[in-house]
Amino acid sequence: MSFLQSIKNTVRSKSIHVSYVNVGSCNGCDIEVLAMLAPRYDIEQYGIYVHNNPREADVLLVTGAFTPQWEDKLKSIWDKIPEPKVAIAIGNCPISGCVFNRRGAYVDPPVAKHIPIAAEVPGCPPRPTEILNAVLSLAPLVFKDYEEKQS
Amino acid sequence: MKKTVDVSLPIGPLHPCFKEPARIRCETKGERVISAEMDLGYVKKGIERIMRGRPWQEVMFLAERICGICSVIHNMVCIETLEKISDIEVPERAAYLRVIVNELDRIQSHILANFSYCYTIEHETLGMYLLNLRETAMDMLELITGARVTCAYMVPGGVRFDLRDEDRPTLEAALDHVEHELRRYVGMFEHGPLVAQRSKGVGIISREDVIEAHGVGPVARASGIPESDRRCEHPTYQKLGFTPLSYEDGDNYARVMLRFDEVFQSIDLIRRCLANMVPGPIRGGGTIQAGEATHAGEAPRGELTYYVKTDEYGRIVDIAVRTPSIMNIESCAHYMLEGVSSAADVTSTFISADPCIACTER
Amino acid sequence: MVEYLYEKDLRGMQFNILASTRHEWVVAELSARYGMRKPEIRRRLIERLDMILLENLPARYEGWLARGDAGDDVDRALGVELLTVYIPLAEDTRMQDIAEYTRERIATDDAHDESIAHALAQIRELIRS
Repeated sequence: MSFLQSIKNTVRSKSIHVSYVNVGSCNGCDIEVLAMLAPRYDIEQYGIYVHNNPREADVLLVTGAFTPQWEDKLKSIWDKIPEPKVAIAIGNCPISGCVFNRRGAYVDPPVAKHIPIAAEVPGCPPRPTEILNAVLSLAPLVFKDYEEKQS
Repeated sequence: MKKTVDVSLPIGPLHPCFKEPARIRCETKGERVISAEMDLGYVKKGIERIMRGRPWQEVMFLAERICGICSVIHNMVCIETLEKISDIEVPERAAYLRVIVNELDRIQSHILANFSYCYTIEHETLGMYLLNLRETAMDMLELITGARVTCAYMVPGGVRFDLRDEDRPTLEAALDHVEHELRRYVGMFEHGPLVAQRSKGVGIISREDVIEAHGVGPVARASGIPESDRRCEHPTYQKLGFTPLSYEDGDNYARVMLRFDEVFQSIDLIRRCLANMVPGPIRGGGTIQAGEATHAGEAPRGELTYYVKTDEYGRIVDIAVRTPSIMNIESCAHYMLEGVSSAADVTSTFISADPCIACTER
Repeated sequence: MVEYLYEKDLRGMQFNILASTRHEWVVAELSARYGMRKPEIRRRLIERLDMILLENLPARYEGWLARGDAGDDVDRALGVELLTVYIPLAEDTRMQDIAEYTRERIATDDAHDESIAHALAQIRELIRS
């Protein structure tokens, strides 16, 4: 492992920027992502910082069954995120559509059809600790030695 | 002399301040907003279409997934409409337990709304304090109902779980904690010079405009319409001696302060419920009959109306839900945002109306 | 490279809003009141109103039923405030002109029903224009 790579590994393990996008959820998962910000869970001790700017994000949390309005937009948000990047599906909706995946609904799950999803956190909604756990266990798998794995 | 340029300023759909996707198109002159329009459709799932033709047992779970923040009141109004159709009586203890859970939900929703507002005006410290306090209310919801968000606590004829006697001290201690801490934070909000500058006199909506746009909930009560509170018509709340609160100013500050005051009121209501409650059954019986009814309840954001029509097998033939956010976002977009003096105030005014896009579009 | 990312045609979404039970009722009431076909009413609504006003249509119509145009029979029959304030489909000054003209005509000729029918035809043209 090169010296440069080891520096990058150290920096990346202590700085994970998270962005979230709601593509048609009921809000339940969104507020659990927001609740994760609370000092009780103290995500900043792990170096996670939540803000809604895809341009500087590393992790994209996707909530909600997919509605037709997002067909072009989600892809463009995904393209805006710089490499290395990873998307996590939060809740049942992006995985299967949950209760909304019925005849007559306007949704088009799963989200994995539209952007690559690396991990899924089921639950309606999942607890904040589960979301936190998913981000923390996925990030080192993807970000560690990223450049060396590419070449 | 420089020419003032008219700009169409789009905000959203993905914006750091918004929890949910929504798009505001502002027509501005310089930085003053002249008019605003909303584009929606980012979370429209067609829940009412899915509900039709399904048994009430399924519709009950779909109803609370209309909105994840105020899921308890959606559950409550849906079940009360079904009870109204079928003349099902609720035992007294269950009626009090419903009020307790509903008011806990209101506490967490109001604190979350004020957190969003503090976050939007860049007062992040106060926002984080509030968000941490909200977790206490969420713990109490979990203690009573068994789930944090979509708990399906109420069923026709009563509630699912009783409040155990050994849990009562925990609930009372949590209420004391929330009241004590929130008094401090409200003091910080009232006396902070930054807060007053960003909030007072911004996003004013007059009483007449609220009536015209049919604004409800905190938006209406902050503009001096206390009678808009549907809790006045609820029998259990009447028994508890409930009187609605109101402010006169109709600006962002009044709306946020009204929510703080309502949290204290909710704590008081829960204490009165705990004092009045006597041991007894929590679940009666009954069958869902054919019929139709319209019923309204007070969600944290305002009046929530359900129209339900059932057939003799307990299936839902027709349903129409009118959520409070529809009216509140409309009064925000077309009345509050008009004449807002800078683009930074657009987001804070929008958040002060406590918009819930998932409710609006269903 | 200019991409108009968000300027999409939203008419499909707007139509979905108008498909609910309460909106269907409002469209039926409007179509009965002004003698226009339902698809035409829907088209005009979609053209002139933004999406949140479309969502709020039933509440606004109920507001008009309860409070709007109080005090004047002609205004009530024509729905002057309904079309200018509550559901803004028509221009304010033209609408006032029509109401004023109708009021004068009723005062002089006393042909109440005819005048109202004539005014409603004018309003129909105004909505279509």
